Amino acid sequence: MEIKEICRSLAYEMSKKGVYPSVLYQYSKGTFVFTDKNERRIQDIPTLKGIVLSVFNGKETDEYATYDIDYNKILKEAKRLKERIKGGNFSLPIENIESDFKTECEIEPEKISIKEKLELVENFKEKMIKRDKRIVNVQSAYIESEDYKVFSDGNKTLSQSIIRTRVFLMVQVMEGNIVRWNYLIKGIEGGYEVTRISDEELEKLCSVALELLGAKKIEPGFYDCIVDPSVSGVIAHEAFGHGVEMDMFVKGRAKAKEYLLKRVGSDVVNIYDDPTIKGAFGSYFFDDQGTIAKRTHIVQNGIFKNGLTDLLSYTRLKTERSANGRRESFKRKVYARMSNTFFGKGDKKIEDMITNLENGVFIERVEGGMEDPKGWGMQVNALIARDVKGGKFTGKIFSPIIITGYVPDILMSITECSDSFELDSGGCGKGHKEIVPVSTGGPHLRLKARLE
Amino acid sequence: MIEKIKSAIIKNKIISDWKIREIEEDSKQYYFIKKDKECEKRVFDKKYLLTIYVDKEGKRGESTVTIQTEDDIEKKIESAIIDASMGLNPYYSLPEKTKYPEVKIKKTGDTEKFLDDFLNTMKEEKGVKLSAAELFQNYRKIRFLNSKGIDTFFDETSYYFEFVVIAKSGKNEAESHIEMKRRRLNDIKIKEIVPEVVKRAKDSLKTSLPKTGKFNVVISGEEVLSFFSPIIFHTSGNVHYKKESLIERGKEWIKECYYDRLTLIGNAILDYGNDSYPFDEDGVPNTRKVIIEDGIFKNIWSSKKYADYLSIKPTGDFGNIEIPKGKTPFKELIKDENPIYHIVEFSAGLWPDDYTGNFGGEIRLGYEIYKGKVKTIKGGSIRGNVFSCFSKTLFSKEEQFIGSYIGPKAIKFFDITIAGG
Repeated sequence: MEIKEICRSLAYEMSKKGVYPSVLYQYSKGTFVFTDKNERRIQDIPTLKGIVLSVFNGKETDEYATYDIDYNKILKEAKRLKERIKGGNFSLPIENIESDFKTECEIEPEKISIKEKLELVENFKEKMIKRDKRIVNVQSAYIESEDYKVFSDGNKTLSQSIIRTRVFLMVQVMEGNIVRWNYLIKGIEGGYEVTRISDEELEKLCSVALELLGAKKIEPGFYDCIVDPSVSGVIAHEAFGHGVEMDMFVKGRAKAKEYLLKRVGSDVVNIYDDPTIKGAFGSYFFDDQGTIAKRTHIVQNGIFKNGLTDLLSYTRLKTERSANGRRESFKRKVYARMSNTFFGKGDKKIEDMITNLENGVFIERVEGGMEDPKGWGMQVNALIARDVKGGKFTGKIFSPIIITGYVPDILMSITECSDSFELDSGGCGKGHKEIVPVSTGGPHLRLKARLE
Repeated sequence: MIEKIKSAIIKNKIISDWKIREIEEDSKQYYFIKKDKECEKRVFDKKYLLTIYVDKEGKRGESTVTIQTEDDIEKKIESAIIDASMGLNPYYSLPEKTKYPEVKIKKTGDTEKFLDDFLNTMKEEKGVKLSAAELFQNYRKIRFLNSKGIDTFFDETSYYFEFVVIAKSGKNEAESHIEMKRRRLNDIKIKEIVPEVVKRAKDSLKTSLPKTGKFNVVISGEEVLSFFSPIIFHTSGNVHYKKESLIERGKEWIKECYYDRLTLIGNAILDYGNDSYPFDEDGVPNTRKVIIEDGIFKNIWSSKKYADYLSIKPTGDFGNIEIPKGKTPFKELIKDENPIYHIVEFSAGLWPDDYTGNFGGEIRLGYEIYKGKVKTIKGGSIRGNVFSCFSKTLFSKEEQFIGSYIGPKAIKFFDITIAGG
């Protein structure tokens, strides 16, 4: 029996009044190609292959997951789940859909030989490592993965094959006892085209790493800031991403629940979550609960409009269903999770934004972030802040930078958004686990924040 | 399956060495929203990780592939040979058959009883409500074989538990959250942890920002773990082989040291330690080794590969962090002439940068102690560098075991930068 038929049949076997059955099959594989000044490594990203059966009665979910795709064995478990879960009056609209989706790659990764991939990462390394004797190492890696999933609830049967590729470059520099590093990550839902990295980008990567050797610590305090898209993206992700994952509303853990349809940011603030963006690292065609991907306008002109739901929060909160029910793998449960989360762009030229900054800093190269959905505290770590006086860079730089603050204070302080737009790739956890691929980004933003 | 993999390996003469790790997992997961079970899940997984080694021109390449079905074997080996033949590095050998230490890493507990106890304990707490809880019981069995004759196995348990408590006062709400991983369920002491988390949630209802400036800071509980990853990184064989370490063996690990000098032990055979195993991923017996002794960097810890490169003996995994207790009682640590901050929870740890040692983190909950008065603080952040902050340190006399750490319950650092109000 083909895997789609297995999924459909198992879902059908679990059907019962008041119970929503579903089956998800996952087969993920990938390759990692790495080099630095001492080593080369080519290996599989550990393969994940398995199936998860799920029954949901509006209140509770019961799941069984296994690596062993033996129909008869799994059927026994399907019947056991059906027997164990309490039925009732719960139901979801029936959708009779059958669709197959696949990432469109400009260059299919499988058409490029491993030798060529190794030469690529070696080439990136060689171009950078000899540039300056203070460069003590360069790590260069190419990563590709394919995540194939089949979802069926007995009526709707969907399949998707998502190809994601990434290039990771890190330059380590040392002078005396001072060590610094800089990095470049490009990640897309797409193919080998991700490896198009210009010599100018490599040069900038090295020159900024070397520049960081002279960086000072910033004096703690409040600053007028312009942040680059990598930083603005993580602000969106932390401020109105995690805090509006609506399973957190069900748990009473999100302050945002009190702010639905209320002002949370200035007029220029628009935040979206959108898994449909072609080529973005966090994109998918349907979520792990079979909801076809669509855009959610989270904050519209400063007003909190919509959150991100999984099946549980959609059911309990009786709200609009978004396509954000995601699992780390078939081995973990579904939570409401982000996809590609970003600020909408504005109409300002970045050059004008800098010219208009009388006394402040330009913050670039995000390192990560965290949030506190209940207290609305937020932290974003970045690599560099450049001093700006009278609209010009003074040449002084500070590193590392910690941006902290109260979410509404930061969002209300945003006065300008640039007309540029970029998305960065990354992984996002729920707490310290449940990592899923996402992207974050947006335009440059002008805002006020506490820096340390 | 293992015999089939071995047969396929033997057919390929180009393969110089190999290792196989057969990994079986059985996990039970329980999820609660408020006091009701929201989800229960059972998970079974099994896979074979095959690493093959190809020797060419005096160099060695390795590649690891995942095998889940018999149909995978030939194709996966073929692709691993290609990958290993191109990823050539200086030669290193595999460990030979040897005797492994006995280490206790398995003890199954009664999850149903644990959850009942937890929910009943929560019921007794007034002024708070349970927001959510998760409990995972994980069992793994790993069989390890290599071309040098090793054929051994171990099995292990681990328990992951997290819960969130919300305190309310009028319209004001605040939460406290804890995550724990232990090998034994009875190392998660409900009767001690619940009141502590409840207290933190209640304390979080009325907070203020810390001051800005340089202060003495005491870090306690699970948060002490945040400081050690750069030290572990810079004492590893990998980093020494690459000549990227900021510290030199045989010398003081930091230039000037006042008060308590650090002794750091990597203990990979601590009974019921989260990071304890009888052997590492290559089959090297795990050990308890002194890395830093009284401030002097004594020994590099290393896998077989980097140990061969550095001509030292492999130690196996670093393992759990073990630090001898200090002489100062906790009560004395938090006494100071000036305002002192006792931090019990960061929002997401301290994020130390292993390479530079820089760290920074937002304070989720702490206490400002000054002239006998205690004020709850939240927000603001602390910043520093591991390689300088340990120059002035005091370790508490009280000890704690928190899964992958056994050592002082609290550490006092001096002149740490805090950015607050």
